[in-house]
Amino acid sequence: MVKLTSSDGESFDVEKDVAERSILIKNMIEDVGDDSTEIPIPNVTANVLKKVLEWCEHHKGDPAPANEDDTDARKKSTDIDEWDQKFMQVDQEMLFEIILAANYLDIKALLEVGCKTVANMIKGKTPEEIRRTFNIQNDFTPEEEAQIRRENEWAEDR
Amino acid sequence: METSNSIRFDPNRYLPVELFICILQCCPFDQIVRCQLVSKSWRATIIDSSELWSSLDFRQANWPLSAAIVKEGIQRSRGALSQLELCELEDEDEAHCEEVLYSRSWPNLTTLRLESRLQKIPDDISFAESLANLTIHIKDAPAFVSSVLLVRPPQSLRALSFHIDWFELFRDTIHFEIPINITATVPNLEFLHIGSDDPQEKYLYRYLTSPLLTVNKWILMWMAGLQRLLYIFPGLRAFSMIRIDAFAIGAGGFQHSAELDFTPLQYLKEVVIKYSMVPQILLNNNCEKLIFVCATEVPRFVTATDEGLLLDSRGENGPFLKELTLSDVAYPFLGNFALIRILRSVNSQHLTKLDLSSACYHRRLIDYSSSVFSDIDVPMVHYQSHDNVNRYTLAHNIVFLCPRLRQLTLGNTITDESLMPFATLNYLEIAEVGYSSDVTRFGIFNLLRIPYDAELVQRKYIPTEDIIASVTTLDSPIKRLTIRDCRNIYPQSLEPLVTRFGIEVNVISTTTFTINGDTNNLDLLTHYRWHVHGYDRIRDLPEQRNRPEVVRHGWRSDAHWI
Repeated sequence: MVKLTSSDGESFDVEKDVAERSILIKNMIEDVGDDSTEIPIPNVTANVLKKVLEWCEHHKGDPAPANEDDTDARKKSTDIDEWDQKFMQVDQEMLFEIILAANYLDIKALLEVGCKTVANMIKGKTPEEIRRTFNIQNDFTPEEEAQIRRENEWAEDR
Repeated sequence: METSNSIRFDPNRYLPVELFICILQCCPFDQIVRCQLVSKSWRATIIDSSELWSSLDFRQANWPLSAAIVKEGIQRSRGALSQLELCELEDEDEAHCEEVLYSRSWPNLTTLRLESRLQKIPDDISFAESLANLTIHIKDAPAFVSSVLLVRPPQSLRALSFHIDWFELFRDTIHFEIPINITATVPNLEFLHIGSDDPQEKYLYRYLTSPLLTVNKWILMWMAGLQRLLYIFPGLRAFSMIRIDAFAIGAGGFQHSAELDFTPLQYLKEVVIKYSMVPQILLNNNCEKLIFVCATEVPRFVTATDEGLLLDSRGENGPFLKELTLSDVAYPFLGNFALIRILRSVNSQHLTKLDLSSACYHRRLIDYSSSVFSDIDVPMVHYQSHDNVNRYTLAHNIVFLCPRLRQLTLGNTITDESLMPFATLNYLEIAEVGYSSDVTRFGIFNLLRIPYDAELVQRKYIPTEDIIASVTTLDSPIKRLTIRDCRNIYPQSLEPLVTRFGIEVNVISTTTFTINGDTNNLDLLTHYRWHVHGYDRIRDLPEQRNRPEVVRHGWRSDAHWI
């Protein structure tokens, strides 16, 4: 068992092979050489860490990712495993926090799932729909917008 | 996720830029371009990023693409382009894009795929000095094209693939070659693929039944050129040649072209030759995988001795193959004995997979099966055939004579008689037997008696009522039914299989999946999670349902929709 402490001071007792889905934690355990010490996770709050650990628990037995050559092909496909899809049905703040935590903790597979989830919120949408999805202000003047549209005409006429 | 009361955030502000780019990289190319219009900060991020533009796969985008979009992408990459797939463009656009591509050098370009109608194929790819993977796929080549030359492959090239669709139409006009006088070799090339890739092998029967078989001298020259090619690539690990020529038969009988001699290629591990006339293949001992499909004669194996002499390996020292496929070997006079000779010459102790589908003259193989298979002990055997001459006797012998056997695939018409050997084989409980069947109407009844997975292949009409009736009357133990390459599936008629009998239904590669405007059919699909892969089109799909998904995948035959 490994003890992880979130940025807001909450502690989690986690099985070693679950925690070691995170390369960061894995390296820390190796560096310390002692499983029983507490590992602080200063960049992740308790509610996010709890969620990330839930993912690690479910995926603890996953085989190591295939070699680097495949990553590009996997990236292009936005198919997400069913359990992961359900897991990612959270509000946007949590979704982005999970992505940040996965990046910080170095959990590649989780980072990928997070990015694909956001990509799926972008795909097939018009700029206006994307703005609405993420509450973004359109800061282009009508003239600028028209100019870019002219440049991008080819991307619009489908 | 998008309900109005949840709080929304701009990912480009919330996340560091490298993570935001990771997200955009999951989007198709044209979507990235469209995202520039979202806001100034999005536009700045997208334009400034070189990662986004370094790998351009235009096949991911929505069609049709125009030259401008491709040109934009190529220029945005500012020379950082590492991967480019130029596919499915209009002729003019393609020429335009290629002009942009060839106009400067691309030091980082490692992968290039040109899928084209052969307006212009580069005869000098020195514009990409570090190119490692090159794929040229010629589609719908116009008849006036006279030659293709690929000159001076860069030293860094690791994989070269050259496809022509409908090769038999263009074999006299399209020519692929590396010049004779080339002195430098390409030591790093490991994978060479030429011909017309045909993963589904649906042209097989056309070759077998083609009435017009002519001598083609050009092909003979071609083979000599091919042999020369092999010497330019001494580091080759895998070679595949598909549909280069099937037959060259004239009035005087069979004309043999040159043998293919692989013996100097000491790294060669894998040879795939399909639908090509190669009477003899000389292999060295290192080769682990040979796939030989639909040829006029089975190859002779030769192995090098310590003295450097070539000896026919007949007997003890065959190549240490791990996987051997000899299927549709159709030489009518020699094939039957040659096949047996080959099987005897293989050193089977390393063999893990043997495929003898439709090897000609089954009866001969059956006559000799006890002696052939007592020497060959292999864990996996595939054996499908187009007639039913006692092949189950053969299967029976294989099961008994190969103690390592764990997986046996038998094909085609299943009759009561054919099931007999297995009825007494307790042994098969540990072996996995798959029946892939173009079953007759009668055969379906028998198919369903087998406690294994069943598969229906290439049916024009699926007699679902028969299947359901059979399942009911036979109390069938079947758990999974696969329907492959069949036409017109009516989901509703298959429903009872799922609801009443709990059978898992997989539908693969149907040409038309008929929804018929009936939303119930679509609901059934999603409700029971039937797996539908690779249909060409969905007919009468209701507008509002899952449309983006279908449009996105519908283009490609590897569509995957659950």
